[in-house]
Amino acid sequence: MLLDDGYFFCRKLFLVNLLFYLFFVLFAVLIASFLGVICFTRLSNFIAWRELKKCGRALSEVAVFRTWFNASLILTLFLGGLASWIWTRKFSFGFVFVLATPVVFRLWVRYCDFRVKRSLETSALSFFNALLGLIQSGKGLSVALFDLTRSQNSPFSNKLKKHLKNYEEGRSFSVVLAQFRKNTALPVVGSYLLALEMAYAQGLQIAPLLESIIPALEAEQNYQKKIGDLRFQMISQACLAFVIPWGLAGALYFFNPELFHSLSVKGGTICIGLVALIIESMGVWVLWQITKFC
Amino acid sequence: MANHQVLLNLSNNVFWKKWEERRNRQALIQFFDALSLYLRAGFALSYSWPETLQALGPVLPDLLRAELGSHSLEAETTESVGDVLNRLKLNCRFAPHRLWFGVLAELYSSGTSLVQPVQAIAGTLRKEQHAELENHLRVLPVKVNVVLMVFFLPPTFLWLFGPLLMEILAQFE
Repeated sequence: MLLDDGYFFCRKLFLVNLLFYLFFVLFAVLIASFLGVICFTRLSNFIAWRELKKCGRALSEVAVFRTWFNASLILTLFLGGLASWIWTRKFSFGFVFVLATPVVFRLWVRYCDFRVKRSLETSALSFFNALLGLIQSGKGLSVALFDLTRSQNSPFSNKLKKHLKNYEEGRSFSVVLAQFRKNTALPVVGSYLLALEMAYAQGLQIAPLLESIIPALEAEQNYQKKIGDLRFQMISQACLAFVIPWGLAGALYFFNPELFHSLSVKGGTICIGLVALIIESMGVWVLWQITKFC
Repeated sequence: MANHQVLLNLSNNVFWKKWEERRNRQALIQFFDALSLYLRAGFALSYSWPETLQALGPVLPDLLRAELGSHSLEAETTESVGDVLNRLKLNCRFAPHRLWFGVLAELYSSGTSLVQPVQAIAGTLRKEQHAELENHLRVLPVKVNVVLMVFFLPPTFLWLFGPLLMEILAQFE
């Protein structure tokens, strides 16, 4: 009887322990996953979304970007896990790849923002020229802007057209212009838009102002284009120069594998590769810095 | 050398100084352009100056905005535009621009119309900026080639001669 009681007591204790252990593990895993998700969301937010928030108004397709980000995250998780399994027989290493997604996304967003702003600024010049013509023919600024946005089909005109709808909804013209300037945040044209806005608010003549704006804008765009072209040439040169040492390493691996393996055994290839990578990374950074104008 | 001194030296290096100078010049061009608009509309400089500063607030670099405005809330009520111009003439942080503020201070005290001088200052600063940009574009290819040689040739030589060097070193072991 006593033995039976002891047996049942032990079994009960074992079951309680087992259940407690299972619940504890489940609870710990849940907390760890929850914390992991929060940390990752915060990190993504810090790395990627901050950039999107900064230029989101100019891009105007935030929802599309979020969808792309989520899709690329899932794809990276899958591909990273697969690659990790093939190489190391473990899935865990794939999470390292996932961390790279926000960084790549941030660069991508920045590039998209640069492209959008560049197209807006390039089309602004022809828009200002047409605006000057209309104003010289005797039209007011608001009428000329409405006519132009209806007739022209350029990125600048289309963007302005969206904002001018607010004027039709009853907002003042100065407010609409200010909103357009703030939302687009164009580095060069922005200051000229501000001048136009101020001249309109003060009731000044717009034509003389546009006459002074257009040559200045033209000159600045020419210089920006020159800098862009030079930077592009520099990037192509740097890419070529970056690849040459690795091409040589590849040639050594294919044409003299014995020497390569003898080096690898002593840790020579890692050493040379690391030093080359560090020097080249420094070179890329210096190139980027010296080509900046301000 | 203390840490903050190292940081100070780094922040004062040639590149940073150049960029800061160019950024401030660009901002000053915008400031004088906007100021000339107010003046052309017939407002006095004492009204136009703070209004322009307020309108351009987010566009101007922090240091320049602080320099062009009054240094404290108390000073905002006591310091006139003439005082600000005189202060800028003597101790503007950006030395090359002191001359312009000096000219403006003189003209303001004499009561002359300021529309033309302000436009002329903006025009001259714009020309300076363009000249600097042209110079930058002219010397850039040389700089790029030097950097390419300094930073991208050594890794190539490392892969060319590294294995040989290590082989030779192994012979002596």
